[in-house]
Amino acid sequence: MLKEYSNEQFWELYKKLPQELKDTLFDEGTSNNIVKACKRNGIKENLGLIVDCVGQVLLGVLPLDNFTETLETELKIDKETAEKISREIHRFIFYPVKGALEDIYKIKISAGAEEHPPSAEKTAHHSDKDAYRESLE
Amino acid sequence: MKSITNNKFFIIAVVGLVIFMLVVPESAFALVPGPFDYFQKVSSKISPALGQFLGTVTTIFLFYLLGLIALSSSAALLDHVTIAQSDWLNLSESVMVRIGWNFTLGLANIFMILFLVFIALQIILKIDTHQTKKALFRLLMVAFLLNFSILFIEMALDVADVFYTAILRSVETLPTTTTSGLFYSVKEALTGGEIKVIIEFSILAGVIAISSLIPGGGIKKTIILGTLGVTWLPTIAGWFIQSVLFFMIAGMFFMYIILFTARVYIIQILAILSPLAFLALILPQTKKYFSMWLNHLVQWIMLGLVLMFLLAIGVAAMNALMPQTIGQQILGAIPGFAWKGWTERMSFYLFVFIYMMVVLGIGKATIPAMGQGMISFVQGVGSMAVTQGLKPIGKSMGSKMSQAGSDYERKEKEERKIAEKAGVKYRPSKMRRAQGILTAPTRFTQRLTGTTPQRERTRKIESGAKELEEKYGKDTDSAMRAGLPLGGWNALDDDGKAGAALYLSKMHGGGKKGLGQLNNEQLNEATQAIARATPHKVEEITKHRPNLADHENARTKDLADAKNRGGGEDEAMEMALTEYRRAQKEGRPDLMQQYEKLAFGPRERTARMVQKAMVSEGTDKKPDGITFENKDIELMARAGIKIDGQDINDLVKTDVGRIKVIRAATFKKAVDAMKTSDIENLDMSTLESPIFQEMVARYRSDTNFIRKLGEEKGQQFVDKITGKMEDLGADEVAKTNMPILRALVYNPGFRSMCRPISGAENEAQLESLEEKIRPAAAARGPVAPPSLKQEDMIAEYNEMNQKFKSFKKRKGSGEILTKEEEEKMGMIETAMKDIKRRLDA
Repeated sequence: MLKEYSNEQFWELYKKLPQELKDTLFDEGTSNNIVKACKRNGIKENLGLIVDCVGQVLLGVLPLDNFTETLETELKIDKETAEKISREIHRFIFYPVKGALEDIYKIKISAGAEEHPPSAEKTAHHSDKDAYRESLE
Repeated sequence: MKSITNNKFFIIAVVGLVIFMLVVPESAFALVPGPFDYFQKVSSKISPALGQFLGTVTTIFLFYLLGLIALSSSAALLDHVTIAQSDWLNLSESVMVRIGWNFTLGLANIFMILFLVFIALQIILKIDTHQTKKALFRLLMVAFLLNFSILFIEMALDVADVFYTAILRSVETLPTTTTSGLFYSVKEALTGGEIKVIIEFSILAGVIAISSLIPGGGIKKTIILGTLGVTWLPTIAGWFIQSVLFFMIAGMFFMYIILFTARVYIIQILAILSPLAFLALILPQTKKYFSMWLNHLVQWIMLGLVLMFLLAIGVAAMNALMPQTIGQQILGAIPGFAWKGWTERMSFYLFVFIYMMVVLGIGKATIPAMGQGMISFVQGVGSMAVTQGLKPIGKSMGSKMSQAGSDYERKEKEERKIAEKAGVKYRPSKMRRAQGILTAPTRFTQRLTGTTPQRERTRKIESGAKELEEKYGKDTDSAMRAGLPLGGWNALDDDGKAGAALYLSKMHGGGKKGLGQLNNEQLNEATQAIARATPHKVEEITKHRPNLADHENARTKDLADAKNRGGGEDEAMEMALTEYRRAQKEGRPDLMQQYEKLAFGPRERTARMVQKAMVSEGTDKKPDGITFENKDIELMARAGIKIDGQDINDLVKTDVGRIKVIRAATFKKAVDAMKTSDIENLDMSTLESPIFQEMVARYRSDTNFIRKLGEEKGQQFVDKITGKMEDLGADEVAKTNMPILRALVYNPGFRSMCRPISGAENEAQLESLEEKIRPAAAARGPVAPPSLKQEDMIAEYNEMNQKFKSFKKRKGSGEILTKEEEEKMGMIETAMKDIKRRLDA
């Protein structure tokens, strides 16, 4: 179940984000890319949930590792469709800001959207800093 | 001797002089005006009340009176100072000199004894030389002289006194100076005497009174004023030239007042030092100090002798050359008769002007070296009186002429438009024709120089704002502080206020350091000034303070203010407002107009002026009878938006409805003009304003605007906007702001910050909303492209044309342009064609 954040929590997280991610979060292009990815994969309902998932990744509270899985669970769609959507979103939304995301999650992102799991030490260190950020473990 | 400080007249005069000099210093910048700026302000207030012609005449007369006061006071004071010199310089009766001289005498005697002992020792010890004997002789001579030093100075002063008295007495025989002094007679020679000035003033007051009795305006009034203009020209020209002379001579007189006052103290100090000066004679090495002392003494004792002599000759010559018409105290003051002897009068003024310049030059050369520092100070004061005094007059006259031309063109255009609407041929009234003829030279010059009064004024306001920006940059605190000590704001004219407000809004928007530097009254004044002078710039202010356009809110506040002030003003205002509402209900626009002026306070007046400036077309429709002239109202109508539940097309059928539509269009325009960067400086009253929230909800489709609002001002203001969307309903918001409804559903940032509004929560609902809004827009035909103002289009075209010509010239001279330049040239050409097509249309 996707965790909900209050407005106060949102602003707390938002303030700490790099400018690149702040801009992507509100960019019209991001909305368009989500809608297009959904349409291409036949998703007509609950688009809002996908938008929420993307938002949480960009806010640094939903690890990229869990993105596909979350889509699958939240939208109640098959794994293959979830992966397809996830790949498109990676390509058009996350990859252009990979530097900022790598920095925030302390991971490595490739063009093919393959992620290297973060080291436990780094993650622990990171989560110590931010109360709202979920553990990657 | 009478002590200077015991003389009341002297004290009052000196205090007056100091105040004059403290007030006059040149403005540090636009917010610190000189005293003459007050006259410009007075002039700007007078003109609307008296009309252009009488306003200009009154302004010149006021300037003339100021000059007359400066000359009279300086002349009287100088006469007094020169005559009182012998009293003030009675050294033997001066306590200060007596005590000081006794002290220095004692000191000199001690030195004398020491010298004597020194010489005696040399002789006893037989080490004396020839020089020793010479020194002994000088010592004995000095021992005698220094004890009488003060007597020598008094003798020298007596000699100077003889000359002064001779010169002063010589002018007493002149016809105009039987009762006044030498310097005061200059004033009489220039003006023809007080009685004449009083008569001239009475005539001016009479003309103003009579002109106010002429009802309305019309051709009669124009003819009367025109006749007055012709008959009065020599008198007005005389006032103007005399004013120049007044200030020039007053400056010179003030300079000499300072020098003559300083003379008293300097001679007293030299008298005190006299024993020591004589002592310096003994040794060859110290002899130069005696020479210095003597030089100063002679210079200061003989001070002003040359000048006074020249002035006496000048006054005598003035009296001899003065045309009879100036001397005719009653006949010469009557307009029309003043034409008689016009050439002689002008020649006389020219003579006086040149002579005074010569006297000033020679007078300066004869002033002691020590006085040069004082002169440069006083000269600054005098020259500024001329430059600061004349400049505003010239400017004021120029701007009035320019304004008259502009008013004529505007009124003529309005009348032509009304005639066209009514389908009749435009025939200007006699009054309008007369105005056209009178303002023709101004308008012709403006056409020749490729400018318009409006542009001139805009340029002036812009340069005022730029000047402040260059001088103070973002430091608006300093800009305001520098203006406050002299109550700078109140002394600024309309253009100055407009420039200052534009500067503040550009630097820090509506924030505390921006427009927040101005109080409500000042902000209203500045906004009204901008609305009057450069309506297209009003947006620069209202985008930071949209509430200025809200007449409903303004009325409440004006009434509250009136109640706080008390004194029945609130009662009168409320009564007028009740009558206004009654007239509104009864559909009586004539009565509404009548009560409007009484019922509206400053805020409401500002709001209405802002609305008129920003939605100048009002609710007028194009010849097709469907499309609104104003593009914002057209857009609102096209979208089918509702104000208070009513359709735009229904609202414009009534006065009340029209006001509502114009208010909404003004707010829309203000909110449209707002940049994302302006949010930082938005004040709380704007953010809390329901109409601001509604306009953002309806028209701001860029996601960054609401994002920035959240970032800068906090979540609560984002909630207010989305709350307003909920109140309006998804159907209503969708008419003008579908993108924001989509963003609320599909934008990750928006979804994290706020939730979609009811009725626009998912794809299906959004599609259904889009389906609903399509037919409303389609019913009114294709959307017309937003039209630039004609003036702006011409300016843009001219700018492009210049660039195009420079490319063409380079090509013509054989130069090969780069590919980019060729492309740019092509683009400019296309754009120019497009503008030309739109202008033709």
